[in-house]
Amino acid sequence: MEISEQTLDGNIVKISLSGRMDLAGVKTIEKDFSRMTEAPRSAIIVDMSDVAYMASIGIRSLLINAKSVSARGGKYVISSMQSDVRNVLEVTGIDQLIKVYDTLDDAIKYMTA
Amino acid sequence: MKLKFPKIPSLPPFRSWAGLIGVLILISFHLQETIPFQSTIRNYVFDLYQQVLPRERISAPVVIVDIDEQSLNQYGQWPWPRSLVAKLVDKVGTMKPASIALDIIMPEVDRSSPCNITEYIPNIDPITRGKICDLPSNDALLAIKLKQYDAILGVAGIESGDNINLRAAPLLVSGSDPKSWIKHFSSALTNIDQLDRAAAGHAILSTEVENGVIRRVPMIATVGNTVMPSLSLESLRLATKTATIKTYATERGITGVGVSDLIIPTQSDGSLYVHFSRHDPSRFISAGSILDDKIDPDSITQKLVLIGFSGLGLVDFPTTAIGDRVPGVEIHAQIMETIFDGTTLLRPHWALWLEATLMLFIGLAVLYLLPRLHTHYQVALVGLSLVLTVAIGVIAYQQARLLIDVASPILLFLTLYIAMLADTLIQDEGQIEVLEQDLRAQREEAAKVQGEMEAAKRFQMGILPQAATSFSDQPRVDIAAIMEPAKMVGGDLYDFFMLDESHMFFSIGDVCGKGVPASLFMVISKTLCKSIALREDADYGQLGQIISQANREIARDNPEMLFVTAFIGIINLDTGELTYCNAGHERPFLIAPNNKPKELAKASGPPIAIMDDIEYKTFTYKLSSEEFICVFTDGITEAMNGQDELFGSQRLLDAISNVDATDNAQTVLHKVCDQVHKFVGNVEPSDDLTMLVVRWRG
Repeated sequence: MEISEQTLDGNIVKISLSGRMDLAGVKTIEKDFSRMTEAPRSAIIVDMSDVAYMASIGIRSLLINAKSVSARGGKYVISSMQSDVRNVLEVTGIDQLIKVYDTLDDAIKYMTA
Repeated sequence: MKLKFPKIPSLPPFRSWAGLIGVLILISFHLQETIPFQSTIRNYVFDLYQQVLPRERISAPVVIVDIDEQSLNQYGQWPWPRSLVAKLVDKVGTMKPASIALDIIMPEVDRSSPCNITEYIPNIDPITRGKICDLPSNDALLAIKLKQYDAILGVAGIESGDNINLRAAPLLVSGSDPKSWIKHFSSALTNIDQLDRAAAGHAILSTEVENGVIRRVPMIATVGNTVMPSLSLESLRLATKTATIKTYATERGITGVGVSDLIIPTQSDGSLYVHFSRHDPSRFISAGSILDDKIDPDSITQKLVLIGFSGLGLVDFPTTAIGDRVPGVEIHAQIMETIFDGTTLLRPHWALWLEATLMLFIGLAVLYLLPRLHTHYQVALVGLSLVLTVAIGVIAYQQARLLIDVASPILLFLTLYIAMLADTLIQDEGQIEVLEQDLRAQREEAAKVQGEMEAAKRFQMGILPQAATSFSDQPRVDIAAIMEPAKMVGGDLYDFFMLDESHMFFSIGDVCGKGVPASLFMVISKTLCKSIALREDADYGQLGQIISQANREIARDNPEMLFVTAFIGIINLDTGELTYCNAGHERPFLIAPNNKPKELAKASGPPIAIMDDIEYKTFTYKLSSEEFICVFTDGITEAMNGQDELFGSQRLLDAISNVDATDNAQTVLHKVCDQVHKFVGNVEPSDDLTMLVVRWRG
């Protein structure tokens, strides 16, 4: 998997993931992913448009970082999920815990609101 | 570029000291010139210089008057009457050469002199004989000409025999007495006294022949007590019309010889390495042509003339350092050319020290520098050192005509380098052995771990209930379950048991991740769920509350942030009512003969252990006795084949959509498993394959 970050206006950090988010994939991004969500960052959008597959370990990875961001009062949302991946999130009910937006613009709107 | 020094430990002290001492001993042998075969190798190197870059003839100060095959055909077989030799000397002498030297030894009187002939005439009258014998002998005729033209005669040194005294030009000694250094002959093959007396110059003709190859020629040598110059030196003395031969010597040996102002640097024994050019026929003039007056006098005038043989059968043809076979007289001619042109070769007395210094540097480099270098740099450095060393030798030879022995340092270098490589190989072998032992130990360790993992897997499988035995006394329940663990211990679980007479509990779960943490989490989750469900105060109608309570327990101590998706159901066997909770798990299918599959689509909340304060919702469904509940984990839907395709829920639906009245839980389960196995083929499964099929039989 690959991971990259970009700081948008208003100190929003966009983290882009790409690849298969399975056991092997998550292993390659785990450290970078946690580093990119570390304090003092408090507005994080995880762009998942290039993630074609997500196993339960991927959910864990999203959740761990979401938990650490929200624990310090920050905002953490996911944007642009492919439908299969979004389905995984919905089946497991994680979409009830983490906000999911269809597009990056929607996510930014929420962040700046 | 920065040199990379790999972390090779330097040689242990005793090893490096032993190497250094070895090098120093070898260098001291070199300085004493006691290394076996070194002189052979050295000669070969010096020959090689000359073979690759032979001397170019600059001027032609020497002419060889050659008694060749043509002359012999014309004037008869050798020995010629001395009268004919006298005529030859006279013909040459009239053309005013700078000197005339005969590379011919005449140790006996000429038996073809007129008086000697009379012995072969029978009955000759005494008066005629007297008249004939009054004629001058051939030797006398030659003696006259030798004297007339200040000719030079040579002798050949003989190693054995009594010491004799010979005529020779007086010696002017500068520095030490040369006699102790120079080549010594006890005796010599000499010319008859009549001729010897007549000659103005006396020289020694001997050269040093090693295995048939001439490399060095003594410029002076002693015969008995007499110091004699070489033919070339004596020719120069007479050409310069000086009386004495000069020698220059220090306490280390002879440094040179000379005549008049000319100094010729020599080796310490007074010899000269001959600097050869290729054999050149233009050096030769046939004696026959001279006797026939067919020669332009200018080709002789002011030249140093050597009279000698090249006729076959008369002389040996020694080999020169450059591999030509030439008549001996040409070697004298070549020496005279090099003296005249100032292109003589010299192996200076300091050459040994220069070579010793090179050897020391190379020895130190091989012992202390190379082992610390990366192999790439080693090879480059070795190549560069070899080229540099050879260059030193070639340039010294070509530019300064100095003979430096580069073979000795190179041989030392190669010997040391090979020894170093061998040493490294031996050490490496030792290291490889150690590594192999490590590897064996690691494999054993891995096998042990593998064994323990398998034991863990067996344990994990062992805590799962067996469908065939658990409900054998419950005709109202038709149940089948399978869990095929992937290679590693996994995190899937299923469970079923009776809560009381009429309530059956079943569950299926999938812990995120794999390996030991997931499997431990699975065991904890299964055990906690069961124990909470079996509490006396548990309200089976409020399954959500039971799950919420279990969730709180499991989530409390969860540092790894693991979670488990689970589907939990309780069937009231009296009524067929299913009470269920879905904590983020795949939606189960409901199938019945002649009915479209349905999903149990209600979701109670997120997976267990994500948050500790979740209230899971409870749902109910009224089962018919025909309906199978198929619960599975993503090990089924995400089973992958060789083309990286997933099995998917559609294939799962296809596998179970055609159930009929003859099917039971076991056959339904088999249908799915068969399809999955067929789809996956030989690909190693990456996840546990878990499925539970349950039917209420009314």
